[in-house]
Amino acid sequence: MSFRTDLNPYDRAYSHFVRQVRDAIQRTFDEEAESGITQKELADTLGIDQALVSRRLNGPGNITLRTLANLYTAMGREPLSNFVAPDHGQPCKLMTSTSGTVVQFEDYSKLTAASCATA
Amino acid sequence: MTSRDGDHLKGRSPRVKRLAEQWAVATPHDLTYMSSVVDACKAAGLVAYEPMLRRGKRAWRYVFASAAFVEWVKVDMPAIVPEHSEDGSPCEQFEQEMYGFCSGYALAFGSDTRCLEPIRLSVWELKTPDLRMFGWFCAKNYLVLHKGEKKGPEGLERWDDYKPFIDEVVSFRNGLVTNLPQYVVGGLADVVSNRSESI
Repeated sequence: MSFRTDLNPYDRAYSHFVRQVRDAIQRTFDEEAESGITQKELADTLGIDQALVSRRLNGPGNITLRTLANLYTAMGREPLSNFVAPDHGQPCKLMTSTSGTVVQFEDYSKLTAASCATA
Repeated sequence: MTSRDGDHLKGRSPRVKRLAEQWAVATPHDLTYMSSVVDACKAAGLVAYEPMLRRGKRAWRYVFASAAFVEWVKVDMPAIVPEHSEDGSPCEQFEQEMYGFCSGYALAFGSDTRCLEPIRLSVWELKTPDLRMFGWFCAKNYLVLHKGEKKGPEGLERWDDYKPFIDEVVSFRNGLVTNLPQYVVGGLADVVSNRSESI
């Protein structure tokens, strides 16, 4: 005998997607932490409290696209590159720079408000 | 110690180890161990959670539940009104937590889960923005859930606040007729291992 939640396929896929994104953020930070980046540095870059960074990196719950982009940008990463087409009928998989299959094409951390405005 | 801890991969190349973890290849020892834990849980009247993982992916960790917890998931949990709608419905929050747990994602101690004081009782709490779930590990990577609650806006700060939940879990656990060791003692690394590759 087994049980599972009564979610429709879209709500279930959404739930899995959110959890995958959280895992991707955590893994990305772990990679960057090996190079010496700290939560405090991220907090300073983003101009927010370190506790908030910790909550965003490790806390449960949803995360907005803006927060996601801010975190990845502050870590000098590409937030999100592609959704891979289904392979043999498997559901789509979110690919991030943590997988090693994505080319990091630009150093976002060097962008400034002025250069963005010029562009 | 189970073969999940890596004994069966000793001496194998890093690529084989990575593939074994990525695809969670089951060895005969794995299957025997899993079978004994699963059989013991079923014999004790526990209900297995069925994770909906990607095709071809085997769960890294397993969740069983008491009949009371299954009833809570089916009846009480869907009626909970989330504090913040952006966190999703309680069912979605539960699915997120179970998906991450069964997939073998790293758990954040304190945010996702934590062992409650007193640690010697080995009662664990799993958390989402609006839910608290209480249970114990009957074996490494095998979680048994018995009690679910709506998380209040003020949170639980003191041991006394948790005591009713701990007592309920311990009472249920003590009443189980099972040939499993009662519970795993220790910290997060003692009760779960992580799948090292992203899936």
